[in-house]
Amino acid sequence: MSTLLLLSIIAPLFAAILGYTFRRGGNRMAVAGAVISAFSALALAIFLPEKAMLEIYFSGLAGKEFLLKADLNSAIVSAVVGIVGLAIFIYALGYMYKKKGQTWFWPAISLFLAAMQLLVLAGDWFLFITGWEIMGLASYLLIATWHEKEEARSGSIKAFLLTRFTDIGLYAGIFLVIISQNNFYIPVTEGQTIPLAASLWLLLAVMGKSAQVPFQSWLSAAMAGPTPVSALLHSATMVGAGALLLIKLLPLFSTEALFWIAVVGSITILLTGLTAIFSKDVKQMLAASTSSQLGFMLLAVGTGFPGAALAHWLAHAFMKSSLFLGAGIFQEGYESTLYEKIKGSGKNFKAAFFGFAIAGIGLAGIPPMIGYWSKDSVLAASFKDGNIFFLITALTGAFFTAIYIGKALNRLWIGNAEKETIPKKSLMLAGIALLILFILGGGFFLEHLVKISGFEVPKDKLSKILGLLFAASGLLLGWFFRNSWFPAEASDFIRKNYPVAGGYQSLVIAPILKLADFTYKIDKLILSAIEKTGETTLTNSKASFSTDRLLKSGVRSIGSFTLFFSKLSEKMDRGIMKSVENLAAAVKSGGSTSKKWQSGMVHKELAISVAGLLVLVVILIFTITEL
Amino acid sequence: MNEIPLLTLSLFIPLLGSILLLFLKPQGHRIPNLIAVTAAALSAAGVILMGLRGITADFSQIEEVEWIPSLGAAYRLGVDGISYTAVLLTALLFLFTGIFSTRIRKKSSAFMALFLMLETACLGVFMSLDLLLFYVFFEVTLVGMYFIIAGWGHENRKKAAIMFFIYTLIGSLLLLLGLLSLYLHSDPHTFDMRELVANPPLSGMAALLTFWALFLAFAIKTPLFPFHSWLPMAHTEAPAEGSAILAGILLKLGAYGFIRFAFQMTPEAFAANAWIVIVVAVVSVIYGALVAMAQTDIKRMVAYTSINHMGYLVFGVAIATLGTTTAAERALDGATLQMFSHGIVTGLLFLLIGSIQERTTTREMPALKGLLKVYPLLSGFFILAAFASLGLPGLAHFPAEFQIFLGGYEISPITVAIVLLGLVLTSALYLRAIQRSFMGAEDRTVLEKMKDLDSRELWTFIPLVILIILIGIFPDILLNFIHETTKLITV
Repeated sequence: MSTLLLLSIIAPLFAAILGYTFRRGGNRMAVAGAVISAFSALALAIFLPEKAMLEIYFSGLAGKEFLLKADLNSAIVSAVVGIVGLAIFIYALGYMYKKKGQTWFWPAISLFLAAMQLLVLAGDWFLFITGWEIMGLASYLLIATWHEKEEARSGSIKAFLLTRFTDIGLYAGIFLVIISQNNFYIPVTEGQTIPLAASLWLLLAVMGKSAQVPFQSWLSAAMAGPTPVSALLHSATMVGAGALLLIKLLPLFSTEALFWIAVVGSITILLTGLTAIFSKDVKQMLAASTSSQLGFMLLAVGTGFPGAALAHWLAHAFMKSSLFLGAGIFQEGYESTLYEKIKGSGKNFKAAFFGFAIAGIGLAGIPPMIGYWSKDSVLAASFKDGNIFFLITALTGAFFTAIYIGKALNRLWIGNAEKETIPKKSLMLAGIALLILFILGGGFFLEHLVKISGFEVPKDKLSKILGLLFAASGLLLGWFFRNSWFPAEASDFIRKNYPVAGGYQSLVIAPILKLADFTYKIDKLILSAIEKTGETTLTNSKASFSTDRLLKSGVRSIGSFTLFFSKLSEKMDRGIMKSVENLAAAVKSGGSTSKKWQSGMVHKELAISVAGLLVLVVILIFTITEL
Repeated sequence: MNEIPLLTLSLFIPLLGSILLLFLKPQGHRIPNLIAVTAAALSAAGVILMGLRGITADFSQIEEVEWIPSLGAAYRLGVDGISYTAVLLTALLFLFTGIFSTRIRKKSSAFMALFLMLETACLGVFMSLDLLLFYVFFEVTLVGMYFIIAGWGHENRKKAAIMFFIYTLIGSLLLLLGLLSLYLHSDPHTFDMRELVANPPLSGMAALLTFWALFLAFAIKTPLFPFHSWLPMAHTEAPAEGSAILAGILLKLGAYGFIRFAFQMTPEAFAANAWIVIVVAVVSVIYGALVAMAQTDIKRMVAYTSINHMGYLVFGVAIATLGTTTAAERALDGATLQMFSHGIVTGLLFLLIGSIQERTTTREMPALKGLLKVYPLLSGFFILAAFASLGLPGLAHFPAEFQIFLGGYEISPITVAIVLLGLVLTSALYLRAIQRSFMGAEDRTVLEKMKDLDSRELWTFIPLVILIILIGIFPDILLNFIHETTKLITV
């Protein structure tokens, strides 16, 4: 069992290392790593008994060993990560066929998978942060796969920096948890709640990683990477890590903290839901939708139902990845993701379109797709909470989801697109097919999985009926939706992720760079002040001493240093004496070598003199104390 | 095996090599290279054997010979968890830098002689248990580094030398005053550092003055804001090997001094003034990162990040004077590990920059473009080292910084929050550097040599990369014995 746990992390890690070292065959190694990881995790989830705990301690900080830990909950999540990852890797085999940047792409995506598995299976905070941050690095590398393109470079930096900034919250929050609980390990037992400050710090980290308002914009910038990267980033990894952290920690949050989590989730559901509706680009729509769906998970956690959040997490992983993979096929065929350019492309790529439609309708919450069950449980959670604001938000969010899905289906199906073919489509479709299988069949197991993970799945009749009603009418409305119904400025503002006051670039980046330049100016001032002092000192010393004599006496004095002491003390050990003499000889010859090179440099000689002088001072003072 | 004087052997083997080179004066570069690498390797082997013999909480493996008994000075060597960390770093980094420097063709034998003498001096500083011995070695490191910069540096040596000279003068004088004060106040007068650590001799005004003298001396060496101006200057002009040793080892002299002298020998004065030190350290963290961000020369940029990293370290030491026992242990564990981590990471970065400089006509980042395309391995290593430097978990800096921050958080959450901003800033500046110079399409007009790493470079970089990852994942290799010592000294 321990081997299975280790393999699910180490297999992709080794694939990454070998892939970058040998610089060829990275694709085969990566897929092999993903296969091993997926099957190990799956086997772990199958064979691990309920309520059992598998623990591996190793290395560690002083007195605190690192811990890898699998219970049924984390094994199931790990299996889903493995399966979604594998499907995406298979798809990527086709997608990356004969594309540039493969020596870079495959190791990075393997590293990404390994980091996520580490995060899921981490038993202590140190390893958790490790998985969390390495995933950030891997996503940075992956978004920059085609770094010849400017938007790939800026997108990758934005992704890493924004999440790194919010990670201040992760560090501060985790420090506070460790100190207040006096526990280095990720707590599983319920008990005392953590201080509100710790919860809010952690919430900040989650908002960054899970792309919640106002940190949602890095997700759309991250689109510059290859499609499989987006698929992975938006589903079972990266953004999912934030929600996963909250699910793990739920018993520790106070009611006040939970309220704020729900508020953040609600705001994100609404704002990014609107962004998705107004998008003119299928991938931008999906990116906004990811934030919105993660918002649902935060809402579910905030209302106190981690089971609902986990259900939606698992379901969303399958749905969002297949939506992205489907969109990638249209993009390959038409070299664009703008609705305008890919109008009617669904008729050309029928299989891809149906995959996209199944996943999409699932996301909207139509049975029997997996999304119906999970969306239902989230809605039920918000109904049970009793806060009318959360209830309305959840329903509106479900409605929005249906609208943007309906709109996307309409754009992809209606219209006449030219016939296009893409190479290796079968591999790409194979990846999607694997995911679709889970979307169609997974719903029937979802509740069971969540329950054996140790969580409750909330149920509510009214929410079920209302949810279906809103989903169906939303899909219909979306099918006929026209951007022209709304004023252009408003829809532009929403589509561009609400760029208040110039957004990220002018609010954060520009001032920091200005501050950096200003600090550098100060630094130059300090430097010139010291240089002036130095030059004056040098001139003075030149005037008062003959530098040549000083140089000689300086070097000599180091030699005489040992002699002087040998006179002082008769007990001097001969061996030691010799070594000190050697030292002196070395310095001496060092001095004479230097003369050969450039005897014109005053300051150099002066430095030696000073060293010599210092030694003289030492001797002087010692003799004084002796007397 | 316990009878073999491993410390003395490891300490003087490089010096022997140096003397051999000076007397033989071999022509060409093959023999000097051979002698230098062999001596460094033997010394490193000795140091590793020392580690295998077992590092204890208190000073152990003492080697003592009477020197000037009337003064209380003796040849005393020994290591504890903290100094062994520094000794190990010194031996390893000198070995790999030595391998790297086999490229040098200009007066190869003189360079190697200096290089080996510098190694002995650096090892001596960390091994010495005697103030006098410590001071002698301390001074010799300055002289050695001075000649390396002056003899093998780049175009603008004069300015760098002036700066180095002024700071050396002031720093050494202050250190001397501090050490003498420690000596004169001990009763009976002794240079034995074990005595001074066990019974800090000073109190009241004398302790205060001594603490500030030591603080200034080490703040210049470390360096902290606003005593740092010599550092970027020296780095800009030093050859890659010089920069690697300067940043990797010589800065640790200051760091080690903070722990061994300021923290252990004037503990009360340090604790009383800890907040001033914390403020200086925090300012250094932010200031170093911001100035680094404004740089266009990639080497200067890395040089300034040292100020940032050393800020974390000194922050950790200052926290250790204030904290509860757990906080103090954590912070000091972190600070000691940070010495090692910064040594290998920044050492690697400077050597990599040396390799870049060999291949290009400029170090200016706006002109360097698309290095990844042309030198995938070199760039891959640089990116890894850069991420290590910005504190990515799984790599060497993180376990150190994690513990410093965790220890600090218990004392002062707000300062830690500010210090964490430093992490974001360093992330930003490294990402910008990678984006500007490594990614994108290459500009061949600034490239001279198109070949990726050769075997000499691989022999240098791969061990360092492995070390960086190893410390990131298995920090207990070092922390086990570091922690024993910090537990002992933070009571």
